[in-house]
Amino acid sequence: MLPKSQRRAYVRYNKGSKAIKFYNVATKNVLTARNYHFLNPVDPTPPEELAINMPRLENGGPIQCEGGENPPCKGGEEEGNTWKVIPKKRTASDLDLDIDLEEPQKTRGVRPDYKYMNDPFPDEEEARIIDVQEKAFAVIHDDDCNNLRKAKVSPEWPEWKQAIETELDQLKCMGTWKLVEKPPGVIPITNKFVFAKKRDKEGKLQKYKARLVAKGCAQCPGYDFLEMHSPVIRVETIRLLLAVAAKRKLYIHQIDIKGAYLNSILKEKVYMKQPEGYDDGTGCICLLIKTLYGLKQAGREWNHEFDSKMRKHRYACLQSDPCIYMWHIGEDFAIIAVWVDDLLIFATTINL
Amino acid sequence: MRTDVAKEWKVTDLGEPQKIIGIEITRSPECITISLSKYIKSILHKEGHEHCNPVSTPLDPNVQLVPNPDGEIRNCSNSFARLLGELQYVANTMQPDISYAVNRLASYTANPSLQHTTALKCMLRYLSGTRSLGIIYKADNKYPNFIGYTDASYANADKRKSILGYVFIASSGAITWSSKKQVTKALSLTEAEYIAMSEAA
Repeated sequence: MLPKSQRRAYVRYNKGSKAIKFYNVATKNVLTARNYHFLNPVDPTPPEELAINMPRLENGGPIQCEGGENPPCKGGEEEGNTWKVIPKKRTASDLDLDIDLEEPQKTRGVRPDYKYMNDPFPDEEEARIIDVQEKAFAVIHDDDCNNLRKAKVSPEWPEWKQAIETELDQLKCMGTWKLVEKPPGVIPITNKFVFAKKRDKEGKLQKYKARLVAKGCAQCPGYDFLEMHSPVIRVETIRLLLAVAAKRKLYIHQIDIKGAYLNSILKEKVYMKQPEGYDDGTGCICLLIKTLYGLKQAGREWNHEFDSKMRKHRYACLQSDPCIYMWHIGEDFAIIAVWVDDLLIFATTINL
Repeated sequence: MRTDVAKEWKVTDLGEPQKIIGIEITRSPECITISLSKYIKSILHKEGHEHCNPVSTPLDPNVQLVPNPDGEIRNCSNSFARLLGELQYVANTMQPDISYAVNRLASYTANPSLQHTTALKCMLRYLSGTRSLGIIYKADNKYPNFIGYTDASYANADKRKSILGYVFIASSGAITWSSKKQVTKALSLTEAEYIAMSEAA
């Protein structure tokens, strides 16, 4: 175990994903983590000593002190979002103690009885926590501001507001979602605005850009998405094409597709809250029709969309690199190299 | 062709390509030059090496890289791996000359010692000297269309393994290259060279 890691109590496997849920005794939170390691615990110390040493926990909640043995937790059947844990008497050999390394004396040998605790965090709360963690690690550039609250207090708020409205107009125009009544049992994923200032080559400010992104981290694998892989071009291929272009004096042209991901249609049913700060107050939620930025499957669906449209126009895709599309008539030919929404077109004549 | 794409989606026409995935492209009638100078500059800026003195070799040939002599003291910070990953992108995209150095250092990522960190900083100094250089593809027909080279060293890596390298060149510019530790132990230099050739093929 690394010195940074901390001991936590295992709760259950997370629905659909490779993560586990664990319980943090110090903050009384249930959180999700993928980076974990099961411990074989140290010898359980006699319970008499322990009960004395844990006043905080006993005051704080309905936690029972079990004598001698540590009842291991076993995940109940997952049904919807509720879960319960069935404590069962067993030896201590196969469970992990909920000991925080900094305060080891508080909980050793004692487990809270999960039966009495409701899930303290519905999924959206977790998304908030993940978000906080992300922010803590994100490199904040001068140019970027990934928080609506921060943008509102910044002196450039009028520009940002304009950018947000442009983005919402684009989303509405593309028909990205429709508003529906919230079906029972559905937890919509949340969203946020990301802001960036676009600069040109000399570093001069070109425009303010805002983009609404869904928090794909809250999506459940197997429920909200199945596959998320999509091909990108190999860098060798770009270099080879450039070498050929130099020799054969091909025309090169670069095209960028606007709001590329918003063009493809979402197959799964994904519900999202209304845009952060632009809620109309009716309590409706958005049923996504098009893939919004931030969804796990957005890249894949966009590639499908692009591929089918290109095939319709009778471009042939290479087997060795699925991101190269070719087309030729006699001596003339054109090659398209695709990097998500950036296209490089190599052609023998300027008209192509 | 452009209209085909424009019919299906809203597009921004950028004209002559300037930059794709961080690669800067400049075109003149007789050649195409690609470089990665902005990306390298941003790495140097992040590491505070903007004004360092350039060195002439990416990896000092007089220093023999060895596994961490202090044993398995796990280094919790991943700064070594992060920086190495950034340099790996440079090595794979633009600079075949640091490919060997990056590959050698990458085998110590799990447990880097001071020696490896120093070597990495040395590589940054090398890059600060070469960051404006790029690959040039020339239009001139006197260069052969496609040509490849391979080479191998014999038993100079850890555990007596050999290191192979290859590069393929078209229109006088490198297209694809690699430098790797061989998987099997070669018993002779000839065998090592054969392994390199089959890897390149």
